[in-house]
Amino acid sequence: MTEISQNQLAKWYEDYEAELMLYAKQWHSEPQAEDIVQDAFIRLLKQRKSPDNVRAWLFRVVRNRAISKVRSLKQQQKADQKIQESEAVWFESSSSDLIDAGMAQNILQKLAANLREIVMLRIWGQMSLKEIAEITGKSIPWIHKEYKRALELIKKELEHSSCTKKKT
Amino acid sequence: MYEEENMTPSEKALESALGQLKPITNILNRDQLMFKAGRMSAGSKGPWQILSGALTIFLFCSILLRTGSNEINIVPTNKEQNPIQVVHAQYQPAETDSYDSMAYPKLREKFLKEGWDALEFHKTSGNSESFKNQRELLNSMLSS
Repeated sequence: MTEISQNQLAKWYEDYEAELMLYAKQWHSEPQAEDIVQDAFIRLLKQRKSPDNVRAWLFRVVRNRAISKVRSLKQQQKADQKIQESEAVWFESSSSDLIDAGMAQNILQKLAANLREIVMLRIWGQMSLKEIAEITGKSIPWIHKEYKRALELIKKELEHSSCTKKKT
Repeated sequence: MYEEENMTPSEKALESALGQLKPITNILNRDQLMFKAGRMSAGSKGPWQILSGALTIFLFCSILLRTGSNEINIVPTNKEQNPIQVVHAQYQPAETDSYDSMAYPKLREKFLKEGWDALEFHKTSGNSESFKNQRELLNSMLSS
């Protein structure tokens, strides 16, 4: 545990900003997600000593902030609607991608919030099931089960989308 | 462990396919964050700053209280000036040998009998030669 410098903060921001933004976008629109992520980094700088697992700490802070903001609004449905309506792009599109970025975003947005969160933490947050369990406050077996369920749903959606694309 | 062992090959393939998608990064946000971080670190008040601020306030208050207690009260006074008191010092002459206490006739008689020796103060006085000359002169005058 050492004191956090601004250079260290900049390094962490470069490493984790995109993943954290993606994570926060599941609850909020892009500007709000930016505020939440930046606030998490500022909070990190305020810490006298850096946490043992900075990445997990940042994800946990972003999660808490995002959820408390949603609760404070008390308009979960409206917030979800905002996410659906927002034109924020989640992924950079590249020709080398096996899955279309826009399609993946649509599928993820349709997923239930708890499933989407686990998928994001696991794939783009690169976290172990144990870390995800610590962040979400759930058990590892439950996380594992829900993660598998989410992958199954995504797979089905991708197959369905590709079928409809071929038909058209 | 749940990490790798319980995942099917199709699930692993889907994981890797999704993992290829890169979340969008925003460079402008980084600059904004660093600006915020710099401002925060510059504006943060350490305990020494709070202490110095408190001491400054204490010093200021103490100066104010001190100047307040030493206010000069201007009280109107009588326009009449105090009269000048002229003190006349009494003249006291220095103590001198005088013969006032002696009766003149007695002194005359004594002088005529004994001569200059009758006047004791002449014996003790310092300038003896001049007195001797004066005595001789006086004796010659008297004898004549």
